[in-house]
Amino acid sequence: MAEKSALSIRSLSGGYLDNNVLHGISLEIEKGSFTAIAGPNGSGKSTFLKYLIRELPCPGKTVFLDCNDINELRQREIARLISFMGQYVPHREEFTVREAVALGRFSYGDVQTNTADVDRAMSLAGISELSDKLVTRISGGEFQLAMLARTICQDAPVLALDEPVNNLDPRHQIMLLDLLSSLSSSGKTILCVLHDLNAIVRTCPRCILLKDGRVFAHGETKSVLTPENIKSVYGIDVTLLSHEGKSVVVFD
Amino acid sequence: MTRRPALVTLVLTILIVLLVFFGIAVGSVRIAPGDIIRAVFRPSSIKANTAYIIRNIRIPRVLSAVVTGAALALCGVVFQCVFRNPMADSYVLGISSGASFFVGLGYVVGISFADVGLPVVAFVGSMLTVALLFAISRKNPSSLLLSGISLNFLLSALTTLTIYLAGHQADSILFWTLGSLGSSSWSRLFIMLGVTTAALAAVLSQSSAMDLLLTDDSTALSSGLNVKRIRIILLVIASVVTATVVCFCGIIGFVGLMSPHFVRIMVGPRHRRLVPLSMMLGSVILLFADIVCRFIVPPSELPIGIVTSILGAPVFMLLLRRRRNG
Repeated sequence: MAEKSALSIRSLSGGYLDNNVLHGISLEIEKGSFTAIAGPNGSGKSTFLKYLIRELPCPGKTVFLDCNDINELRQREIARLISFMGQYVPHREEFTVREAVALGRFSYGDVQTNTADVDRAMSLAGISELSDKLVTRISGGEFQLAMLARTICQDAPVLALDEPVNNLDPRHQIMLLDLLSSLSSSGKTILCVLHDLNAIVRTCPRCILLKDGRVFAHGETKSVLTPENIKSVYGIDVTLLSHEGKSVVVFD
Repeated sequence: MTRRPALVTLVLTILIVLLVFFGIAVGSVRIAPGDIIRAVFRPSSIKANTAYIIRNIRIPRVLSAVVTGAALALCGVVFQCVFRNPMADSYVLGISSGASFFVGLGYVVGISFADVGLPVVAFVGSMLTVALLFAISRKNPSSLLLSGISLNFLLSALTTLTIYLAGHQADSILFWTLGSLGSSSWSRLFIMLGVTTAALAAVLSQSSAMDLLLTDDSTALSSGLNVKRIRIILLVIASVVTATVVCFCGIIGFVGLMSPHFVRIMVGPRHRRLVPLSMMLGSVILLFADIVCRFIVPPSELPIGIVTSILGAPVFMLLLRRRRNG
């Protein structure tokens, strides 16, 4: 196992009851990298992330966080190594944004007392002015930013995010992805499920392409998201154009 | 959003003190406020009979109302958190009925209830009901409430059957189904106080975990919470408290539903505040209900479960309507 791996996955297979979703996934995710996970609906992207936080029980010695077998870690220890932002699930309870963000400090036991990290996370996510608003009374996009702030507040070296830009307008999408980029530049490892291929090309230096629960391609985004690979995985024709040094995926 | 926990605490404290005094004063024998003070500090200065009523009947009774109301509210907060449903409480979910059915069954099959035996049987009944609820609603958590209500119907019917079969002990079982603070005593009060205080300490130590439990399983788990373990711990705590209350006071419905609902509106969902303030409001509701019970048909009294149900059922319907409206 490479020292510089934030995450190592060894022949991970599994899923739900008798429905095997993942088939022999093996990956090394470098520390400080920003990797997108792409693939059609049902290809196993969200299921894969669920194994990384042990929401699904991992088969023996298949998932390693910072060289530690996830099965030998307590839940709080996992939370200090990887933070997770799930798909959009609105809160029913009337927490203020600050209270919801502060829950990210649970694994450190300072939810009630740590205001500095909560302020910093809200500031990074650009939601400081929402601090005292109720999470039930803000827009879907603002809620996503609050959940990102909670994930940042957890201060883990790896951030796993499942479709974080859903519900966001283009400006907030770019803002969120740029924020993830800057977190990656500051040493955080980012693993992010995204559907928007142009967002991946624009933001993520690396990409994992899943198909039917298997890794179809993994590596630098420009070598993974080729028209041939996209055709094989999604069954659609695309053209990759270059405009002022930036790549754009155009759907035929 | 304005939340005023300090003001709510002050108002509830004043209400508890006033209702405690009023609860001691009213009843088949009216007692002057001055006599209450004298009975506590200088009992020899008033009639022995009056001092006895105040010290050994009225004070244990109103303090039982305080502790029982608090205990029921605590159970309500915990069940609502564990099942992520503001309509859950030990009565609505049938957990109290499970405890009373087992007590009734115990009488029918002839178990000899020593002081320890009764809570144990009630505890087994409440735990089995919780386990059954979990099993029924595991695959579809949204069915929990209906499952609980169905279980409540079933267990209430079975309790009625035990009343029918129990012969001369039918009155004892009937006591559990209607709820009463009439048999309060210092010894029972201290047991309930001990159990409730221990439960409060345990629940408050997990207040951040309970806040996190209100989000969703993925968020709670990825934030470091062992979701399964905390759910089991909280359910055991709430079941022990429910069993203790049912054992001493019978089934008193809806206090656990009403208190957290109103307190949540006033101070928000964080359990560090929600738990103690709901318990205080639970005490207020039960003190009030107990006074109403003694007022309506003097010198006799109504079972307290009837009064709390009359107060609580509209709140339940309101919650149901709000939930349906999203």
